[in-house]
Parts: sequence; structure tokens; C-alpha cells
Amino acid sequence: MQKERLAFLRIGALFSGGKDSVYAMNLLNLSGNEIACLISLIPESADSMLFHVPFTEQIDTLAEAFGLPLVKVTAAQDELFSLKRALKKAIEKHSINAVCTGAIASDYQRMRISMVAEELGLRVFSPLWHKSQEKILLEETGFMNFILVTATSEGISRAVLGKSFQPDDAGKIIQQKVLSNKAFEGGEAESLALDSPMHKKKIQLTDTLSRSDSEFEHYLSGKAILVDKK
Amino acid sequence: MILKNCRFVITQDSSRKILENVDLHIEDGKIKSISKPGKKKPGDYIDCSDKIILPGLTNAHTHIAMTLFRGFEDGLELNDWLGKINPIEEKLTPKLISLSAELGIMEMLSKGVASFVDMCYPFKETYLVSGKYGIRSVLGPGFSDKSFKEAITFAKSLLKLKSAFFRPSLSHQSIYTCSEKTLLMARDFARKHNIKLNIHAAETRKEVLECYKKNRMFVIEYLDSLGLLDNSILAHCGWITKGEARIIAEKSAVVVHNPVSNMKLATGAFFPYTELSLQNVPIALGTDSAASNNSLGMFDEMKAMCLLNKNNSWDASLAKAQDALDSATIHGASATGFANGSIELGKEADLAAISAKSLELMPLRKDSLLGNLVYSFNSYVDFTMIAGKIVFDKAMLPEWLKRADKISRELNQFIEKNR
Repeated sequence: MQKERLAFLRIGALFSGGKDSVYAMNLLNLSGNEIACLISLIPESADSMLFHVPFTEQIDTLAEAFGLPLVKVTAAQDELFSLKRALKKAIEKHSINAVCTGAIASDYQRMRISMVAEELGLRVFSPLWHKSQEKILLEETGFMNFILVTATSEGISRAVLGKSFQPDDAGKIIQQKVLSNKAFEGGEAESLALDSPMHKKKIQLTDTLSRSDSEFEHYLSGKAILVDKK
Repeated sequence: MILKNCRFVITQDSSRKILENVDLHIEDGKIKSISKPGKKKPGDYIDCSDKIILPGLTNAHTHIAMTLFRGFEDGLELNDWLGKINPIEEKLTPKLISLSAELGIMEMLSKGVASFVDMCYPFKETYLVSGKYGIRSVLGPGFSDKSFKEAITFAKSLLKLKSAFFRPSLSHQSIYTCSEKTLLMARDFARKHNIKLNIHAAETRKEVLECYKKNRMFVIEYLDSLGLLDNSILAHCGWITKGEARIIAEKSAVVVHNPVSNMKLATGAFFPYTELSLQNVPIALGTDSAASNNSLGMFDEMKAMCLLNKNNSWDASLAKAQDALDSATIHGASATGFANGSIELGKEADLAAISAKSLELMPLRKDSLLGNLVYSFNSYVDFTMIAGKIVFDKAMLPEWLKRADKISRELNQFIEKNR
């Protein structure tokens, strides 16, 4: 084999702090790849179609938990332009040659990220793409510790908000016929990953506050702090 | 002719029946009847007591005249690869094209392929060689602005033949190889004469990006906006969305999956197997050219289709052996329009026969038959029959290998001189 031709992947992981982006980069890490940096886009609007919103104001703390450099860009109205800016920055600062995404079923996400990556000559890895959402939710539950921080759909009880998500909770979600996206890919709930094999420190949420705007709209806020892993 | 006492007949009928120990009666090139074994009478019959009979396979997307480029390059991505091949391709003579097509057709017939859909350039040679060997083909002159008239003339001449062995189509390499005006003329011609458009669609991420930048639409959306999807054959489709899968279904287009070629050229594609299946889009199967595969055998392709889609989705229940066989037979027939792809009364007697005593198929039972064929079989078939006529028999192999060797020498001389 011509070893000189082998180029190691240096991956920039699109990172929101939610369960899917964290699970995806853990999977690539487990496949022997190097995660060179985290890349976060902080949406200006809470209605972002492309990027995760909750807890992004604390993204520096969430990223610090991994001990990885963070490339942070505010996502302006033109989200694609912002994404391109963030990826360019990651190429310049951390010499990435590939991107990892936690996309599962959103063509909107996949195609747009792919087109920007094509322009920049980056490969895209989406290890969760087209996997069964039930399976993903169950595997994530077993693989890492995460909580739900928003629940905005019928079928997700307020009681599950803020508690460490367990296989039983996943089982109940999977039974819910009203939920078409069992891993919440459609924004039915948003999550926060507290611990995974790639976390150097665990995240703990303090000063939590919850609020309900209606029967099916529940939100949790709080302060993320880092604690040592034992 | 009677195929006597067939050990297994994989009918691929609507209930996917597998029959055991039956006689297949063939008359005037068609399946006349299927019956319990009768007494042997003098006449034209073949003892099939140790044979598996299945419908002749369809290679629904290939470029047969590129067979001379088999093994030409390894390790290049699509555009770099084309950059190496295209300049040499331009130097090909009609004779070399003819030899190249002959090599490919011999290989396909020896592996049970009865029909193929070709995206071809100088098309006359492939037509002549197909005729010589008795294989069915959908020949799609690849057209550009410059060659459109010539392609139309060829298509018209095939239409005039009203042959059961040839169908014309119009092929375009990609949405950028000709102007919208030419594409629309091709559409109108195809509609008028009820022939298929054979299109390379959404093969690469680059193509998607370029299309989106220019038209603010993805590739399938763009083709649909021009009315090019109706009744078309869409090859590759590695980069399409759920919405595009719905459009394909609405327009009754057939998609051709090319798993090996896409993987070899590292297009990064994610074939939307589930979306297309949920929309009941026929998914046919193609090898693409020997240059990017490197085989033209459909058993390898069926296996790759199953493995790739199972692994991509982390779902072993997806793309089973039966699905792959459907792709290589009945869905292939949806692409070509030939009345083959299943063994039913009145259908064309296009069949492949495989020895039930093949080592790689054992232990063989009815319940393991499809799995063993798709995941394990990769040898020559015992015979391939088209329209009731045996066009390849294993006994012909020494003679065919001699001919193939002669062709290879000639093709290699050209490659060595021009690479």
C-alpha cells in the first residue's frame, strides 16, 4: 500500500450540544477518526431550519467538556452563508478535511450541508443518516447520558424534561403513535448531552427553571457547569 | 422445446412462486406452459433435473462499448477518472468499439443477462454486435447539441425495425452536456414515439450543487420542471431527497441503482432505497461500465445492492435477496419494456439456467435458494436462453474464451499505445 497517499481524516464536528450531534461524533471517533474541532452555529432566530437552538448561549461550556477547540459563528439570516463561513474558519484554523453531522432524516440539512461542503472540498459523514429513529433513540439512551430540555409535541410528557433519559423513557416514546419522529428529528423535543465517552468532563445543569406554555409546550433552562468524571 | 424436470423454477410471478420438478414448455420463443413432468417423448428437450431456472437478468444501466477500459484506472474519483478516460475514448475507432461491445456482451450472456440498457456512443456497432449475439438491448444514443440529429436518425431507424430485440431510447450524460433547447426536443421526440429517456441523474454532489446554483432546484426537480421525467430511466440517483423520490413516483420513472460503480468511484452517494421503495418506484439494477465496476455480472451487483443498503441503514431486513432479484428481473423489465423478467405464460422465454450442483450453492434447499444465488453465486451460468433460443451454453465457453482472448489482445494494443 502506498502509505504516503493515505490522508488522515481531520473532522470538524457540527456541534449543538444535543444528543444527535454528540452521538454522531462519538461514532466517528470510535471508527478511528480524529475529531479536530467542534463547529457551532448560533442561530439569531429561534426558528432556524438548519441549526439547533436551546442552550447555544452556553455553547462554550458545552464544548469545553470535550476538551476540543470550538469554532463558533453566529448564523445570520443566510444560514448557508454562515455555515460556509464557519467551515472555512475550521479549515483555516484546524485544517479539517471532513465534516460530521448528526442529521438523521432531514434532507434540508443534508443537502445544504453537502452543497457547502462540495464548494469547500470537504467530505461529509452523517453516520446517523437514514437509520431507524427508534433504534437511534434506544442506542443513544444506552450509550450516553442526556436530558430533554424542550418537549413541544403531543406524546412527550412534561415529567421526562430534565431527567436523565432512560431506556424506559425511550420505550414509552417509541410506543407513541402520534410521534412520527421518534428521535425528535422534526424538533418535537430538544436534548442536551451531559456525558458520553468523548466527554472529558461531565455537564451538570444547575439553577434549573421549567415553564409550560401550553399542554404540549414545555421548556427547561439552567446553567451548565462542568464536573470531573470519576 | 421443453426444459424437462427443472429442479427449481424461480418464476418471479406476482406471488414470487418457486416451483420444483416441473417441465417448462417453450414455443415460438415464449413460455407456453408449465406442467408436472410428463413422459419423455422424442423431441427437443433439455434435462434440467439438476438446474435452477430463473428469468434472464437485466443490466439496466451500462456503457458496453467501454468494456475495453476494464481495469484501466483504480483509485480515482469520478471527475478525475473521466479526465483520464475521455481523451482516449475520443480516439476509438468503430472497430474497437465493436470489439469492446462484443467482449461485454459475451460476459453478460455468460452470466445470465438477457437484456441491457446501454448509454452508447457511436451506437451502430453495439446494435450490430447485440444482433449477432441475440441479446435484447435498449440502445440510447448519447446526444449532445451537436449529435442530436444523428441520435434521432438512429432512434428512428430502430423504431422502424419494430424488433422484439431492440428498443431505442435517447440518453443524456448529464443535464450539462447539452442545452435546454436540445433537452426539450429530446423530450418531445420521446413523447411522440413513446420511447424512454435514459438519464444520468444526481450521480454526484457536484452535479447537485451546480444544478442548485443555476436553477435553485435539485436535479430531479429540475428535470421535472422540463417535463423530462415521464417514463424515463434515471441512473444512479445517489443524491436525491425524499421530495424528489415522490416526484419520481408520480412520473412513473424507473430508477437504476448502481451500487458497485458508485462505491468504486467514491461518489459519497446515499441511495434512497427506503424512500423509493415506500413510493413503489421500481428500482432496477445496473453495473455501469466495466471501467467503473469492473464486472458486468449481475450476481455481484445484486449482492452489492443488498450489502450496501443493509449496512447504510443498520437494518439487515432491508434489501433482501428477493428484493435484489426483483431489481435484476421484473424491475429491469420495467426499465426496458421487454416482456421478460418473469417466467409466466405468454412471457418471452428469456431464461438463465444454473447448476444446482454448483459448489457455492450448497447446501441447497428451497428456502436457501435465493439467498445462495444472490450472496454466493458468481460463476458462469449453464446456459442463457433468449426468445427460446440458447445464446450461451457452457459448452461454448472454450470457443468464446478463445475469441475473447483475441479481442483482448487487440484492445490492449490500443490501450498501451494511447494511455
